Amino acid sequence: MPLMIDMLRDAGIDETILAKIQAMLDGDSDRLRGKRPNHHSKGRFGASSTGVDLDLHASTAHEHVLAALDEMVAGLRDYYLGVRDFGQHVVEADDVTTADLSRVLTRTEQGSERTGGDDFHGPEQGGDGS
Amino acid sequence: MAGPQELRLQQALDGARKEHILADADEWKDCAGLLREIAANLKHARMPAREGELGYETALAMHAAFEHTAAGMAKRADHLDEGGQAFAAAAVAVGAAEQVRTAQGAAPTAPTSTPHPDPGSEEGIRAAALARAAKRAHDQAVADRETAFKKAADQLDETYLDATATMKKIHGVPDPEGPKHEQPGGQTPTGPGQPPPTTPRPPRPPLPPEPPRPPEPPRPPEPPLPPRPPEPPQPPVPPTTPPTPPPPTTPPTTPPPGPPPGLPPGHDPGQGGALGPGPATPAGPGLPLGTPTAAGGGGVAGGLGAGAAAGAGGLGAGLGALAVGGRGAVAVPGGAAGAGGRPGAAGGRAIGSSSRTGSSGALGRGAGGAGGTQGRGTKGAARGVGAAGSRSGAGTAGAGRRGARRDDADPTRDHRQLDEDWVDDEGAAPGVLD
Repeated sequence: MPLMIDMLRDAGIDETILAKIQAMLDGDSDRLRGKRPNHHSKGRFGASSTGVDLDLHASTAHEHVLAALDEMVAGLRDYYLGVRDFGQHVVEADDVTTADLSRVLTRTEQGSERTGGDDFHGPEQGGDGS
Repeated sequence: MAGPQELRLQQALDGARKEHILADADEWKDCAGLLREIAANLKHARMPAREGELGYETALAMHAAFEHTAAGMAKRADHLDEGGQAFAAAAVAVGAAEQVRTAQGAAPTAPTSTPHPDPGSEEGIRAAALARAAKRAHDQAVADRETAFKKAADQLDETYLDATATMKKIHGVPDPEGPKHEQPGGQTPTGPGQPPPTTPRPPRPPLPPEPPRPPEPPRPPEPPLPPRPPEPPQPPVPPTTPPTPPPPTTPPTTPPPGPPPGLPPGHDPGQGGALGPGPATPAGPGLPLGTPTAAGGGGVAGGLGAGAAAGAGGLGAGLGALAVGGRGAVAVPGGAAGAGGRPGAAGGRAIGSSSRTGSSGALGRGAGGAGGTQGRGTKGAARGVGAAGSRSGAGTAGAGRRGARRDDADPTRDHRQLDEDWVDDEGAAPGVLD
């Protein structure tokens, strides 16, 4: 009996934790999507040669930042789905097979792929590396 | 009238809006803050799994992925902060330059003075002194204005250059190689002294004129010719009967007939290819067989020239193709390298790469590099052809001299005359074939 109570309590706690993580991931991805910076300064650096040059490179940097943010939003979404699948196939399921867990891992890998990287370089510049 | 530095600052501020630049600075900083917050959430997220229970290994893998993402997000947040600071500095510089322009106000008008009707009088002298003082004051005011404008414009340029360096570091796209071309419309680069554009938006980037190309380096000295292969044995020449000597009253003046001086006995200038390396085909530049040249021995020259030209062209084209292949290999996106350090990474960012816009620059860079390499290969082939041509001329001149030396044994010959007959000064080279 105490074992069953512990199991029930643990399951409830686990579900709560999972729900929190899911909410965190879902909310963070939405917030990040809403925080995509606008390019207010486009064409606003003046007519000098240095100003035009800065305008060009600021635009390029802005594009790269937006692309990376979109990838990160998609990656956080993958994490969210992975946590959801973990909850369905590990915490709630009575019988779990290896295939179900591999699905969780696949989503996790996908999320890591999209959110990984520590810069805003494109893949042609060897980006998302150290 | 506005001075050159004032015009320069006017142009620099034409279309500049510090409020818009500052807005970008704020948004980038906000985005950086949010990334740090999300990174902290991910770092502390822990899946409910216990060691030994089902899903524990999977949970560990998820934790590792979360931490890796958190670390990357924190670094990207740093880059966004740097970009935001660059925007902020640019906005401050624009504001400072605008303040200078406002503070200086309108340009002072030059003092006008009419000559005094009596310049020699005391009043006339005083008026002239006052006029000179006014002019000096005006000149000083103009100079001070120009100094202030120059300082503001220089500061703005310097700040913009720093901000540009930061943006380049953020996007990582290298500057394109090759010569810059003018924008459509033939816009000339702006600089001090030029009137500012009247359009409300800044024009397309004006580029400086292309610098003069450096002169080509001097050609290296021609390498010495390889030793000529041994001449094949010539067919025996039937003995010639000496001419009947003229009557004793007139001494003989003509030399006995035989092979022309400068050539081995029995050699016919019409025959070609015997001394050349392999079959001589008139492929491209190079003399066809049997074509007489000014130096004589045209068949020999043609064989050497055509054969060497074909060889040099093939070598140059092969080098060009090899270099193109190498450039193409470098330009391939390093997707595998990017996926190396991440746990469980499938390899490459194939999903994300399609949305990036920088790929065209890298592709363009690769194509441009290939074109330049091919040009270098072609130039090398052309140089080989020219060298072969000049080498053949030198060889022929050397053959002429060698023939003259063989006649040294004949005391009746005038060596000076032989040299004058057979050495062609044009394209003559030292006797490298000895």
